[in-house]
Amino acid sequence: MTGERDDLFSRPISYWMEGAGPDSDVVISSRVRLARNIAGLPFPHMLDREQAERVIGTVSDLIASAAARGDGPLADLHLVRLHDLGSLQRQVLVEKHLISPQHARSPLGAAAIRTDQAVSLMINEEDHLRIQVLMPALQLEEALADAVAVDDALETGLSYAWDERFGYLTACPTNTGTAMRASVMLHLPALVMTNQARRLAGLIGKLNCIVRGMYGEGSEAAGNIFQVSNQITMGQSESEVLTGLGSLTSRLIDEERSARRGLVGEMRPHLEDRVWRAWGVLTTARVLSSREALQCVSDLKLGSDLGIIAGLDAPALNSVMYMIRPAYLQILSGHELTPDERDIRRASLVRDQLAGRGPEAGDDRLSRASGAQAGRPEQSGAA
Amino acid sequence: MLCQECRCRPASVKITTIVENQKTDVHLCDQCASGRGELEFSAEGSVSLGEMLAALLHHQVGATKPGGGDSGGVGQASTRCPTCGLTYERFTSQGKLGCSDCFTYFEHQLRSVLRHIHGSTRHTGRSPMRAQKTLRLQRDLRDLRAALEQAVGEERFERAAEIRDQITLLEQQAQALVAAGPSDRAGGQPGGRDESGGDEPDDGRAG
Repeated sequence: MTGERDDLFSRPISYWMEGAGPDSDVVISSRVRLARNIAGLPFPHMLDREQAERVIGTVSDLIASAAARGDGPLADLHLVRLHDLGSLQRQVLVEKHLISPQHARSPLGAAAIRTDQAVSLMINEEDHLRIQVLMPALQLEEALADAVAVDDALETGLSYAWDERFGYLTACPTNTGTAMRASVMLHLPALVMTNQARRLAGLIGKLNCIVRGMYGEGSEAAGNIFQVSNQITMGQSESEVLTGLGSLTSRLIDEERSARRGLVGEMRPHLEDRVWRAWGVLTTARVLSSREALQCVSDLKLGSDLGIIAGLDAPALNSVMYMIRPAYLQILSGHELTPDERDIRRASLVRDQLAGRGPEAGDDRLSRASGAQAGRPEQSGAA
Repeated sequence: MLCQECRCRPASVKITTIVENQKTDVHLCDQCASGRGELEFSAEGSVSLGEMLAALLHHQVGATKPGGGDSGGVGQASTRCPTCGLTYERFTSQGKLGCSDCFTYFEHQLRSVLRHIHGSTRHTGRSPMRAQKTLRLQRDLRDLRAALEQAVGEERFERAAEIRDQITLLEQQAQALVAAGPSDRAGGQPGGRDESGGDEPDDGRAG
């Protein structure tokens, strides 16, 4: 248990992030989240301590018996009560998308997290249970299948609040029905550079979807990373919602690739300059803000996807993206840091992370990238 | 930083507008931000579902004040859910319902909220395994009761007795299903504010 727990906080990225998947040049990850409440208990914000413990106990028993059997979707989950964690540890779980910012503040909350951190169960968040599955690249259907497996396994030991007409009953009516929120995390640097984001926002809204920053509601879209998710949960089945979100995502992928081709074709020297400057900043800076780091990582990701810079694989860049987060930086340092100390620590950490990964000048690849293949770049290989 | 519009609540949303390459940032609180219809992409200024719901509920409360001609007690904003004690007013201020029974008790108002949010009030997705079994049992029971009535009407009493036994069997199964796992209605209800006595919804759908 301690092993998993140490891993949870000491490793900047989750194991699942190292996996591969389709359209990974634009789609960083896919997520499906199902909200569930237990019948006969008030929703979490109305629970007293004893009732909240009962919810945690029910889940804990199910996990324990799955672990004893040694198989099933719950067997590899590990339960932590949030009040047993320090505030930095809770914040690291938020940075890794394993719990929500709201859940981190919940005194009666708990989380059950799978060893590879692809599955997490938020307990006593806004609803009693939120089953969440994360997968690399574009894999919405696969994520739903895993979430449903966990859902069915949980239901063997409890009874859900459900209504024939309204579906799964949730504390907030914005989730009632399927209670499913599916989202994709997209890296859209070329659309931002070519000022097309606003135009596409209209399209996203018309298709009943929402766009947000990397950390959900109210978060900034730093590093050109956007989260697009379904807005409605009633009147459409889970698979209809995924089809809609999937086709919107395909459209955004096409638009982003076409904008990348345009940039390579028309502004190659400027694009190259931008990528190499980012490399310069990340490998030499002594004081590095989170915003600047994210922007530079975005430029490097783009440069790597377009073959401008070689030797940087996606997990290495994703690692940088997560290790520069405030809570992780502080956990790593073993104590709290002021914002200025964080910027200094961040700069040295990023330099260390990129040292030895020195890109071979990828100029020879650029000529290929600027051709017909530019929109579907191959992954930059090993250094 | 204070909201630049009302100047009393803390600003939580930054709205960036770009008109002819002129960038303007405005910092607003949730309430003032949701009052503007102009929020756009860039995620710094996107309307959250919570804000959308708050704006909607705010509007609705104005329209369904007690004495506004709504039918019965359920339409009144001050009415409490008999199971958890949540008032509709509290729901509109916090955006969260108190328990599953709130859906039955505030059904009238919630239908319009759900229609506004989702464009629909009818769930068409997955259902829990237990509910699937319950639904199947309920359907079979309905069919058997109709058959029983018909058999009695035709004075085929032997057949009627067979059907009655089948019904008893299915009713036992339905009860076992409810009793299995944490029961739907057993305990867990805060405050015990059950004023109405029978809190069972009247349309017979609850199992």
